[in-house]
Amino acid sequence: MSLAMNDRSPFPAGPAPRAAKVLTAIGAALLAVLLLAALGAPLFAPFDADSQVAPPFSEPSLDHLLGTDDLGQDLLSQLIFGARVSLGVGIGAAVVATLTASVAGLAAGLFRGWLDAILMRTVDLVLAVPLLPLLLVLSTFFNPGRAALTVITGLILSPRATREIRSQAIAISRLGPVDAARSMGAGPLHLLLSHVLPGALPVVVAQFVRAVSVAVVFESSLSFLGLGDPTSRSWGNILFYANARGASVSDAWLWWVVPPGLCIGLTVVAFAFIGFGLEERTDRRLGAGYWRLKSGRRRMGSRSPEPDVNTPLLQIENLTVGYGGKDHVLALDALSITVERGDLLVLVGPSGSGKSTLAAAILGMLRAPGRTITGRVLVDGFDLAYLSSEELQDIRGRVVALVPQAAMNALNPVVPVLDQVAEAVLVHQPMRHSAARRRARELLANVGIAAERTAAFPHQLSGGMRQRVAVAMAIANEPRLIVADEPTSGLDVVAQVEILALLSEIRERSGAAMIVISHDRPALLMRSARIVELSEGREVAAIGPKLEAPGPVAASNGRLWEGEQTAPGQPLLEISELWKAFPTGRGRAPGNVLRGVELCVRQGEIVGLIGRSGTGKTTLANVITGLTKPDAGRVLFKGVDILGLTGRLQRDARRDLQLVGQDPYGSLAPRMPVRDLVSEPLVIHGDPQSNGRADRVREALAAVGLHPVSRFLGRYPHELSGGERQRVAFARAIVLSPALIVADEPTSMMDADLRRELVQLMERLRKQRQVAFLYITHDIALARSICDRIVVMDEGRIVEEWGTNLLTTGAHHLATQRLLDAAQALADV
Amino acid sequence: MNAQTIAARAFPLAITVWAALTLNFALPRLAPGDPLDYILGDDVATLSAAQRKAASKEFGLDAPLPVQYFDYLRGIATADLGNSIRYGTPVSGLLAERVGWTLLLALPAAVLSVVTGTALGAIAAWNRGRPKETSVMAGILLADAMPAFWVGMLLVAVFSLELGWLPSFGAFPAGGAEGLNVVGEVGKRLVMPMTAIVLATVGQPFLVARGAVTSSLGEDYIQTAQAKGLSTRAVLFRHALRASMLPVLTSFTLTLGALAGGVVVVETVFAYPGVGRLVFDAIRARDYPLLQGAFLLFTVTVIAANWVSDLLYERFDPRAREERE
Repeated sequence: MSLAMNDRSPFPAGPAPRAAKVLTAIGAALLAVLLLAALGAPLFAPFDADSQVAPPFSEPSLDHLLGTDDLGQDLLSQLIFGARVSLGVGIGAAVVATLTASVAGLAAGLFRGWLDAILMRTVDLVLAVPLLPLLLVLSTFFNPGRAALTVITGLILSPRATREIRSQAIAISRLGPVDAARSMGAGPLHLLLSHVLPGALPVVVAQFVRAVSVAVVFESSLSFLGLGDPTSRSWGNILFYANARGASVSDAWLWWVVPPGLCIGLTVVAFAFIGFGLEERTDRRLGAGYWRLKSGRRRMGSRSPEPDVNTPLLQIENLTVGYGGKDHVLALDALSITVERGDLLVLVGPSGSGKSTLAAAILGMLRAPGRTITGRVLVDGFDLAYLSSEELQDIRGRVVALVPQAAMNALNPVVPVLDQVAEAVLVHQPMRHSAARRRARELLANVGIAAERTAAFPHQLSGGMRQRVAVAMAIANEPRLIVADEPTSGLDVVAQVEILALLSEIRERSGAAMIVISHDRPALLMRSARIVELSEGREVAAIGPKLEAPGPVAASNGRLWEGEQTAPGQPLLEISELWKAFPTGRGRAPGNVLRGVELCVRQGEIVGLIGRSGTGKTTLANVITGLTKPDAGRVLFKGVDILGLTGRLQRDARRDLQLVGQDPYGSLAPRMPVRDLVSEPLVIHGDPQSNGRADRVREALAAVGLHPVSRFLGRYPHELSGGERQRVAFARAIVLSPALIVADEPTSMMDADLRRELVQLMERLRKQRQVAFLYITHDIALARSICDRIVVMDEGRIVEEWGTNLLTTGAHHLATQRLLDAAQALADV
Repeated sequence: MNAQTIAARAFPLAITVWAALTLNFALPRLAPGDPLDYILGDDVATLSAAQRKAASKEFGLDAPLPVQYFDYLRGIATADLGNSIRYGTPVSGLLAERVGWTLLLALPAAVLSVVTGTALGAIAAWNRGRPKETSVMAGILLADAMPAFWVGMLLVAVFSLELGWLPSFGAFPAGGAEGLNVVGEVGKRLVMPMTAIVLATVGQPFLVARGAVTSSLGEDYIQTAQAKGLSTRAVLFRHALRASMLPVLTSFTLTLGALAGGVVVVETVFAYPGVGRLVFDAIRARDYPLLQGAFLLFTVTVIAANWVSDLLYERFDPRAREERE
């Protein structure tokens, strides 16, 4: 993971937006006053709004605080009664709009297909038309009364809300928890009530608030143009008469024009403030997105001394970094590290050990709420804390460069990679654009990217290629220190080896010092490296360069192959001739993802399915668990072809077939406590409450080693560690006592220790509960340690299958050999 | 982008135009009363039964609906939008006279509002959570909340009535002007209406840009850009904003819709001789053909502008390009 994501601060990433809370409070107070005025109008209004009580055009007086209009009617009373009409139309229209939009948006988002197509075409149609002119035309032709106008306004405003609610519904139904529920066999109703509706609710509320604002303005504009209901005095109506009687070009503007407009403005602002506060609080995207460099980090006082030639390149002295305010949590605890020119330092440690915080500190890029508490970071003898942001910018990329983790999202998705590299050149070397691009092409060639791919956008490249681009950017200005932050995570083993080899090569060629941060021990680099192991922000071990080669892979962990072997049982899952193609787009992988897959899993067996990324492993898992429909082929589970089943039959058939996904962060619904998460399969499959649901949940949690169970039942996913989350996912999978669990890369996001623990868990579950596993991974070493059989997948086909003892002998398929070589190279030291 | 994609993007928009045309055709026939009422206006009441029949025949209202519809579409193709009830002249001619004034007001207003709104939104996203940002935010929400016509009325009261700095109505001095003076006089009369429209429409692009840039700022590539040594401004505008252009441009539709509404009410306040004021006059005089013509003009303009922004955002975002393909 990258700097931005890793070392998750225990605090919510966003600011607890106090300012937003203040605005919400102001909005709520304003709204309360306005609603009170509207409801109690007869009580508060000093006069009847529709009768002459004073001479026309009276100026304000004690009797008539806002004077009178051209008919001698009291303006203050009109204003108070106007609140009823304006708020009534506004809120009424918003109710119509939000109800219509919720039904249409949720239906479109959940069922998709033709319903979605029709609804969305209609929405697009209405949205393309300017709404106020449309409303004007409709009102002129039909002369609607107040109620009809409210409904028409609501209908006109509903398309936009429909679109927003639909996108939210779709976004939610693409999230892990919904996929997880679907793989458990959940139907649309369960998905709607348990997942989509709760997730869409904030958007619905926000849309309601927005609709009120727009409706109030529309009503006033309509009235202002003389199209309002003449019998009811709304604020817009008062302004219409004010304008018609020339109030804005006489002194009367102060008491005739200002107050009604102010009321309209305040109403809209009240709703806008409330809506703003709601969005700030509920929009997880905004919350997670909060991040800003610490500014004003320049301390007063003298500059650091000039560097002398003998100062080390990087000195970290006694550095303590905390997250949060007074009760901060330490990410780095009095850490000291020195890197000399040309050094290679490998920094290993489990996630949460402070590695990425350190990388950020070296670049002077600590982000709020992280802050330096003690200690300092010196680059070339300059204390980063004393440098201005311009000086820091000058160091970044030129002296110290970062290789981010590019498999995810470290490259800008809308800029061609060539331009991103050229930009890195231009920051520090002023030259013509064409020259910079030429240089960028050279750099990309140096990292092994062919000239014809340089115009590509990041998403058109594989993870390994993206990582190469990130390396090219880092070396663009020949930096003296390269910090590579998890440069291999998220890549498959073969790509990992290639990237590590590239980094070694670059270091040898350029003589730059390098810090490689990893949760693994990249054997390839470690042979000549100094290794610092971090744990909880402290250095726990420093190991000098190691010279001996790594030992053989098979010995690394786990049991002997030929040993304790369970006898093969009856076939449980039989897959034959499975084909699946996805529609292709420009720059995407070829269409056929599954090309005639044949596979068999027997009862109580652990079968490893290994292969590089993009070979169709996950698609296969999705077909088996019913998330993806194949184009052709059969999936027999317990002798029944489950592809042909629908409705209840399908759900019952899937009871014994569960999925554990690769992302424990994504597949657990954030709003559910562990108790509800684990009992969800029981709910979906309609096991009655009385059937000891609570006991079965406890028992499942105990089986996956979450002790003591009672401590975990009420916790939410964000209160659990990564390993605990994946255990919860396993508990959810075994609670129905299934015969087969498809585990799709359950360990790929974990560090080595957690991986080992989870593999042991799978083995234990198999032994105690006779569960069979289809274990999908690209980690051949891990697969070899527990699987009874291993099948290798490449380009949508099973290309090789090993029994138990064929491992080291014989010639392998090319794809297998690559995986084996990579695993060998990466093996633990 | 080749001609084929451009045409493909135009297709759904053509359908929207067709739907707007059909709505216009349907309105007089669906609304209460005789369609003839909506063509001739109040004069209908003075006609005898025989005269009504003759008039119906003249306007083809006695023909079967499909024939009427076909004739209507053929009329549109030759820019025949019927005659104005109030002026008695062709609607298309009246619109053509006024449209220049409206463009003079609305185009700069649109550019101003979208550019300042987006830039302020991006800056607000960068400073998210700071007190300064919250006050900018509150200010924009306030501006957004005030009805455009009311802002116009206040501007007139303050700058024309109280201070006497700017003329309160029209687009042109009554006595006429010559040479360079023309530019000055017209400009003076544009200041207040344009301010009112910009204030009323700046909120949309601001909020969208703020939201989109905030979420881009959380992405890893912002960190990468910073690690390269880019300046704050380059990171914000070249990376965060550029990657956020999709929602910003998509929201352009809504801004344009708001702009059209703003033009109608603001031109009314300032008695500005554009299409918006014509709409107000048409509503007052129940001049249905003129109102329909003006509505059609607004719709087609907004749709055409959307088409351009559609084409633009595919240039900005390669992901959008592929999603469509």
